[in-house]
Amino acid sequence: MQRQLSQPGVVDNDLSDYWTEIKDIEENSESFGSEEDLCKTPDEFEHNTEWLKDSGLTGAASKLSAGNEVHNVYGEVDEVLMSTLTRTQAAAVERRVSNLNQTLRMKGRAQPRDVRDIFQPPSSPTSPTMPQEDAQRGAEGREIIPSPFLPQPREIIPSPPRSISPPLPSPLEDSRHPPVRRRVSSSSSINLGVTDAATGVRTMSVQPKSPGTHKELSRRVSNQELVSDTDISLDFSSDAKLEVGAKSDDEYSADQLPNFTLVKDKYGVTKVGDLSERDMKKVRSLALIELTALFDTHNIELKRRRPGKVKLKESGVFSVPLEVLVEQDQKKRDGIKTPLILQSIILFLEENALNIEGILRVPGSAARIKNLRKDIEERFNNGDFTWDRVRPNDVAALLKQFLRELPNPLLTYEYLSAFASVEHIPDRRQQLQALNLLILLLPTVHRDSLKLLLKFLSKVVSKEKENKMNINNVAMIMAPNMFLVKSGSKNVNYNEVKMAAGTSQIVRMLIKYHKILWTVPSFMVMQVRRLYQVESSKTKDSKGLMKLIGRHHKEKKTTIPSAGQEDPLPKGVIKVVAPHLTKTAMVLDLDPQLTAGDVVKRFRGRTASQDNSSEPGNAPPGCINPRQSAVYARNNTYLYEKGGNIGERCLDMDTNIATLVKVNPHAEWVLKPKSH
Amino acid sequence: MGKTSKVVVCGQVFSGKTAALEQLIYGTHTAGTQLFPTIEDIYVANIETDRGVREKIRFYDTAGLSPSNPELPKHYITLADGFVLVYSTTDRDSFKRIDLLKRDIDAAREKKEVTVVAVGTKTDLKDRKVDLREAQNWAQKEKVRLFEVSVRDRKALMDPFVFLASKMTQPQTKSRFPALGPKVKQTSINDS
Repeated sequence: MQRQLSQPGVVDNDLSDYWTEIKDIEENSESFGSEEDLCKTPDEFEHNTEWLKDSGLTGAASKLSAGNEVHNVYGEVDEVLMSTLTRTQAAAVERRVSNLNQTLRMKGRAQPRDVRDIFQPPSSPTSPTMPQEDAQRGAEGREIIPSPFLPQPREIIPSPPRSISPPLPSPLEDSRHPPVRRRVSSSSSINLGVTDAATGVRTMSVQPKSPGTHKELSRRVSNQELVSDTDISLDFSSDAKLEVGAKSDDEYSADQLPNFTLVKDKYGVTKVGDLSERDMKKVRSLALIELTALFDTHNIELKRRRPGKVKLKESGVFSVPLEVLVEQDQKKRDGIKTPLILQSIILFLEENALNIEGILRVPGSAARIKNLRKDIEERFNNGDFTWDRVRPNDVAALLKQFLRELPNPLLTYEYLSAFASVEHIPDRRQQLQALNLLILLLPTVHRDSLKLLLKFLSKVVSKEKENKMNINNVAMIMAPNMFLVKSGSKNVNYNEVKMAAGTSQIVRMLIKYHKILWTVPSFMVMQVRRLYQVESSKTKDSKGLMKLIGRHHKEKKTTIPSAGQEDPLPKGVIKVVAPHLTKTAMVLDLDPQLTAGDVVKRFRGRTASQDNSSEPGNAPPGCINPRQSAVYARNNTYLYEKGGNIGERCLDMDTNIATLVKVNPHAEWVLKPKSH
Repeated sequence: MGKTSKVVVCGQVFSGKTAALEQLIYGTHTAGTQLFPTIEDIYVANIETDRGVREKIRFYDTAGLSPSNPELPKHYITLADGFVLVYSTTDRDSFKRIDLLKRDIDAAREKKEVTVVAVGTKTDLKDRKVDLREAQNWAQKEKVRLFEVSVRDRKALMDPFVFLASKMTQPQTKSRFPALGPKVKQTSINDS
């Protein structure tokens, strides 16, 4: 009870805004089926199989749904994915697989439950017939079960690459007692992180900076070289990338959220849109596993609800799935990522409503909103709707209606409860990480739309002085709209208060940190790379052989060079190609300081501003580039790494190229405009 | 029109190859700016030939040759349709270098299948070391066209490249009769 009172999120001012908003929603909503009908909670078996499928372990999933037990995820199926997972991630997968095995056994033989199953922690695999390897892993799995006394932090010890062989004990682990070692080492590093974190964490360094007043946590991979080895050692650099600059002693003081900033590493920040679809698919499955592992360590159940079959509107503006809206709009304009209606509502509000006092809170007139809505519904898609003579407050109310009435809410039914339960994670950094992972899990359209909304909300907050809407107010008003809270009985019960506080806290975090949440943690990019590597080495018989063949080819090229063929590059240089520019290729020295920004700059004219001597007008006959003047790299041109061990990734301007080349030596370097 | 011709620009290090190309294509190079040694850059430019046809030319800007890096990589010599031999009029060594380069080219390629022009750069600078007459003598002997240019004068700078583009893309039948060359050219201009 005590703890609940100091619940983060219950901010100094009460939640009255929240309740008014709910009431308001209630009044405005027309007959609306209760959402319980719209989605169903699948039984556990189904749930876990779904989970496996979504996390990319299709092999295991299909086997299980066919009714076979999976004893060894590593050897039998999905070796590729499993071998790239870190220990915690693997444990989370194993737990689910063993769960499934159990259910299968129960289903199949209808036997009474094994006594051992009852007295064992539920998550550990218990099959007595288990191969030895599995038994070992089972032991590991048990270790990870959180103890009630120690909040279980995440695994951070570099794990050897998982393959068919049993896990090799690392030198570090040897020195400790097997059952407690990791708990001891890692908890001291995260929970007390500020004081003695260096212990036991080989790949990360924590630098306490005047502990007590300023907490400056900046753990990152200290040894970049390690990454290029077979290990993925920077497992948990994702929360390490968030630098804490909390002013207050109490990190959980809800009133002010500490300023987290991204710690840039040499590989550059990867924004969500920077990776190709193919890479994002891999990221998504990794994110699901990682999120599950994270939730497991905090004993939070990750419930994923599948939306049931609902009759969906396929045209119109309101109550239409975001995906359908975007699909419609893409016919009108190329490269649309978020629905035009949402864009134009937000644009209108940004232009007209940011200074209005109480924007978003003050409701418009119900009648006018109804008319406006009808108007938009009829005319928006024809393009003859204009935003003249529309009142901002009505539009703001309409925005909320739009969000509420989405057949699949912005945060999606699937992850709605997961978003809400992020609040139960005790550590702020891990909360952020969970949000980050959840955002990676959202469907692309939802993710982009959410970003659009949050950008707008943070703009509203930035004008706090004029519109009197601070982050707390905005979050409280948006929370019921985003989390689809329904008002229940007249007297608010305790759970609802908790929910109210929790969800508004989540929205607050989303607004506050939206800039850093839309990134792919670098350890996950590393895992994706590793995944590609394992995949390619598996398809080709052996990597060494491939290299040999590759070398052979190159030798051939040098001896019989023919026109148009790629020439062999000397070591220490990279070739950057820019097919759409006048300067189509450039070979660059791998200077240790070279950044992606430098590369792009080399393709810009040295004095690009005075580029007018080649104007088409005064071009004499026999001139160079007569019609079109030479094409320089524009401002939206970015460097991409393509191929090698990643699909395609747009590089942050600060990315250190030399370091990246070490990680991905076979990549192509392409300069092109960003597509949006 | 037609396929993209490939032109390799080569010569002594710091003889102004990149400067000439940048000025030619972008028109933004200012004389005397800092030098960045090139490794390999590729440019694509459209050049209007003297027949009035626009030709797409791909320029390979190569690393400058120096005593430590004396040879132009072989694959450049084999891939090119044309060469621009660049020397600096302020550097005798660079002039000697293009003589060696010409020999390399002659050794590897038939005279007919490649077009070569020699370009002397930095004529705006005072300390000239390579006499124009001497260079012309050499050019006559080697049967290459010689141009002297400066990045300060972009129009003059275009001449060698326009000439090169025109020569390279000339229809085969006409180039077989070098004696008739000027006459044939005359008619073709009248035609167009």
